[in-house]
Amino acid sequence: MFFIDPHVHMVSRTTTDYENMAMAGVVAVSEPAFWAGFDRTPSAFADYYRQLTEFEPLRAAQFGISHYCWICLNPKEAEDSGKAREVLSLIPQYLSRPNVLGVGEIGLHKNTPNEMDIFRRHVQLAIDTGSAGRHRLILIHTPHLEDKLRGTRLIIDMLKEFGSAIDPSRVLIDHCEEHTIRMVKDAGFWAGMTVYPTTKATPERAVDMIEVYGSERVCINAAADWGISDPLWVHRTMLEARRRGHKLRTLMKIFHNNPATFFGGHLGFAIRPMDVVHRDLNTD
Amino acid sequence: MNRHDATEPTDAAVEPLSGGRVLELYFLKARAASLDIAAMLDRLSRAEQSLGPVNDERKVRLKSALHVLADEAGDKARRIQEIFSIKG
Repeated sequence: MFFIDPHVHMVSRTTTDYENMAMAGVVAVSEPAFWAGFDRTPSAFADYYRQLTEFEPLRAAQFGISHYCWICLNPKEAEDSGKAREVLSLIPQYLSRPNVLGVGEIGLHKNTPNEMDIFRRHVQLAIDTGSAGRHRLILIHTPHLEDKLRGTRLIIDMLKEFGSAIDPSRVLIDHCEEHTIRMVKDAGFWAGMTVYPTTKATPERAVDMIEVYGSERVCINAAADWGISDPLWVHRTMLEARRRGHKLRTLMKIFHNNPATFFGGHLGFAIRPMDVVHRDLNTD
Repeated sequence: MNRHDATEPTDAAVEPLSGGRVLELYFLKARAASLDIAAMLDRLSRAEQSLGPVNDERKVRLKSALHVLADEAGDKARRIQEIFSIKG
């Protein structure tokens, strides 16, 4: 069984995590830019983007893991508009680096007007820096807990403001839960589910959502970071699905092929979906 | 009893947590637990819709426990433990 971890903050993890992930079948990770736990200066962002595009790929490669990332200003740091615009001006030079999949994780945190302004600027940046008539892939963080329902609605409404300039099949809206996944899928976007048991989903609830809403355009991640989290919650979710009798082909689709399909919207993403073939060795 | 223990207050002497502090420490865990229960009941409901109702005393006990959670009386953990205990 092979895995692509669609959302993990490896800068916060140990090298032992890379080793454990590789031993557990992880062949690629996608690391969105995020909040460091404290607000940074614009120059710290430049260093962070170098870490994501230069250092982490080397650390991952030691274990045969391909490292991809996303560049943006996380919504938690969008409240200071002046600083946010300064950081936004840094971003284009990093977007064309080889392991960058697109713009993310942008989104909302407390659903404030300043956060919404910076969100729209990021979306416009993804459009303006796209190629061949397609905007860059976009990865979106939805707010936590009591702010999630309203924030997810606001995000979908803002994306619709861009009309045909935004292709929902090139946008993943992450951290969906029971009250938000339907609206995301119905609008044609990819839906991410995050297994982070105290504040987001559990393995059991993530598998429930797959059973209720289907496995099309769905990715499962653990968003492991500097909090109480573990990249292998993705694998625990696979085990829960397996325990309920889901077939290997379905598991391969959810944990490998769906991320490979969405990330494959970026030409530099090298991993292709795989098929599970049961061969009768006696007839080969 | 060593010197350290002698200078420590007994458990009974510890000031109770304030209501606000209890919520601060345990709200998220309780919120997550309530979602787990809700999702389990949804799972059971979907199974019963597909495969027919299940006649199982564990379901009855679970509903009784949920009533205890929602009532106004205290001592909930002990009362729920009794619901899940073999009688006699």
